[in-house]
Amino acid sequence: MPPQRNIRLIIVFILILFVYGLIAGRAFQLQFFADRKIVNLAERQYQRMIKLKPKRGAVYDRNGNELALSLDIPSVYARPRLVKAPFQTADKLSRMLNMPRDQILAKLKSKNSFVWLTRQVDPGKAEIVSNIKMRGIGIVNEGRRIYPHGSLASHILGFAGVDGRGLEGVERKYDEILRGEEHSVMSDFDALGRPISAAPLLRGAYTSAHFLYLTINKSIQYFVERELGNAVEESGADAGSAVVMVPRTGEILALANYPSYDPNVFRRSSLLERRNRAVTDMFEPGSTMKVFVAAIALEEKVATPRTRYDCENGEFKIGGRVIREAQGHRWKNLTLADIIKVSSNIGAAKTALQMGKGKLYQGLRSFGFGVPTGIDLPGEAVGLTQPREKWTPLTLSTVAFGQGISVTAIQLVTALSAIANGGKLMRPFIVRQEVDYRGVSVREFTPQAVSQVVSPETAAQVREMMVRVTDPDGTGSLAVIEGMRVAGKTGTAQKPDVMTGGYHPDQYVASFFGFAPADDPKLAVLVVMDNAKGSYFGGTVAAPLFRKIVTHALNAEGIRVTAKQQAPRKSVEVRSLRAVEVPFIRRVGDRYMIPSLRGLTMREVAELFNEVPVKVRFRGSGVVRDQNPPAESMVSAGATCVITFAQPDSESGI
Amino acid sequence: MTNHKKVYKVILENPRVAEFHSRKKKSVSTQITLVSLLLIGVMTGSMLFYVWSRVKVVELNYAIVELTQLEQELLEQNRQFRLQLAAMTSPTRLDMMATNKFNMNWPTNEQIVRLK
Repeated sequence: MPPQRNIRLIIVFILILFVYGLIAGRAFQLQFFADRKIVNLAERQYQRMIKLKPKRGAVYDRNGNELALSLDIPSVYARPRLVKAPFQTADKLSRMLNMPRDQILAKLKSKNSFVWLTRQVDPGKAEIVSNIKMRGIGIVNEGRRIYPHGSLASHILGFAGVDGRGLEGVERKYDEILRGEEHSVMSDFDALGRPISAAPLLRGAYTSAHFLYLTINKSIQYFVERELGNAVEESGADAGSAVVMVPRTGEILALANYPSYDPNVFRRSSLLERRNRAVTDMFEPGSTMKVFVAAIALEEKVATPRTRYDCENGEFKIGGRVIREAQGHRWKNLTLADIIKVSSNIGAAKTALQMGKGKLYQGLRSFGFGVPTGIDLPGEAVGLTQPREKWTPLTLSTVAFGQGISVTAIQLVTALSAIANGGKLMRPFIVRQEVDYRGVSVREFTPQAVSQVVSPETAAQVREMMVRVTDPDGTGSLAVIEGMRVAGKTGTAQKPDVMTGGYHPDQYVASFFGFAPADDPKLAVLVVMDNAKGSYFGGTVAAPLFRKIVTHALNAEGIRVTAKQQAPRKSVEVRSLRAVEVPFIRRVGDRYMIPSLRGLTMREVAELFNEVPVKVRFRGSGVVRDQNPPAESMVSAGATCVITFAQPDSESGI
Repeated sequence: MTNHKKVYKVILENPRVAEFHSRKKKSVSTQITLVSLLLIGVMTGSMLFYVWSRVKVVELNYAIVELTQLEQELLEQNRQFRLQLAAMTSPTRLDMMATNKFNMNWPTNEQIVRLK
């Protein structure tokens, strides 16, 4: 190669090398030592701030059954400025969304840059809209609150609006916890607007919104609502409330009001239906107040259960007024225990007068009347009591039998629970646990003792007096549960007439409260019926409902309710029809021989296995068709037998 | 000119020595070229590797986004199934079915048998 050509080649090579070096150097500089301004310029092109709205936390009952949860439901929006042919678009959307064409057209002609066409639509409809791509029309998912059991526990749960904010009940009280915090995060997007980083999605899914477990038992709540509704309808009452509480802890197992509403469509309900009467409504309690008067009198050593009071033969003049007994009774001499049993107004008034206003007023305040219970539901009323200074002897007398004092249902059942709980007043509560998205407990709501209102001895004495109310000659005999001692008290109060300042002559609030079993109270229950027609006494309107609720609730909580008398069984008839002999499980050494169970009913099998320490698992329904282990097998204690049931043969019945 | 310079010139002008020098020069320039090419190759390779790794990271990010979206969809489906289950086992529905369809009644206390 000639030397000159060689030199040219070298020069070109050096030039290329130089340019390459320049480019590489610049690339290196940009990549690793770029000026912040340039970095910002680049980030502005592919980074965007996005808002992450957490999905609202679910609400469960005490056994983990869903009561409220949020789902992604599509909403259809429009950007009117981007819609080229509003008339044709409105035509299409009208058919797809089943909405009036004019309504859509008006929205498409709006001057706003963004309008909702319809929110939270059927996902099928949204998919059709999404498949037919129309410029300026889009779909976005929004969290919608769903209450799978409809009206069940609606007054406790409340509801959340379209914007995801709690408006009533637990939804409102614990709104911040359920809603979580909205985050804004910077995220990377490509030229097509697709996210490059998954971090925001993950943060969107695993949010700060927490879940709540309530103290409510779904089964008891349903039963209480159903029976309360039936009782209100049958008695022609305007409304009703019922509360079931665990006296030892203050947990609310059920809280129902009637009329009720479905929170899924809360806009269709009236304010009257949505009102949580048990917490927000005050009423004059009537004779249920006598229990607390007796308790205060005993605690203050003013009286004993055997202290006698002159009941003035049914008419007692005081402060220019005459106090009479209910139903025209004319009692002469009654002990304090009898005053509770027969619900004597004059006896209660005389007990209160003997005590004096200071002790009674202070005692009632200690039981929680006139002060909020602190239940974790919004809108709690505190009740009304006149200031102590204004109490006259007449006030003292009427307050003793529940007139001239207003209470809420929750106050009444909480005070009753104190009697059932050995005199210890507990704060009622609805939420027992807060958990995060992983199910890890964040906060446990433990029972809180407010105060020791009366001594355990006083509480026991009052309890015995209340048990006598359910004697056959007591006012609450219809609350009796066979095979169980029940403590209770009836209440019938005339409704105040706000127009005249007096009382309605023919409108009453009937109530019954009590607890069971009386010797080891597991449940305290209050039933209130507002303005029942026909029979309006607490003992006839509310007591039977109390009995039904307590029986079901005790069964649901696994507390055996044994009857004195066995009712005739339907299964006996079935057995005779099928002509199947019920075998027995024989013990051989430390093992058990399982006989052939073919043809037995589920109840018969259950009773059979209850006698031995062998577990049983049922499949299907009807009569026994198959069993594992097979008949005549030997099993050890703790073993599990799987019994398969099927519909019986029509001819043999097996 | 001194003697030793004359000797040096004679040696340099010797054709064999001149050829040796020319070969040596060529070999040095070839080495420089080779080293430069190697340098360019290494740099280009590094840059390509760097770009490839960035592309790979972006690709993996897309895959993660896709899987995360799938996870979200499955979680949402799970919620929907749970909602359906809750609605199907709603006490109101079960009560109505038991009463109307199967002519069942609520059990009395005596009819309730507890299982261990």
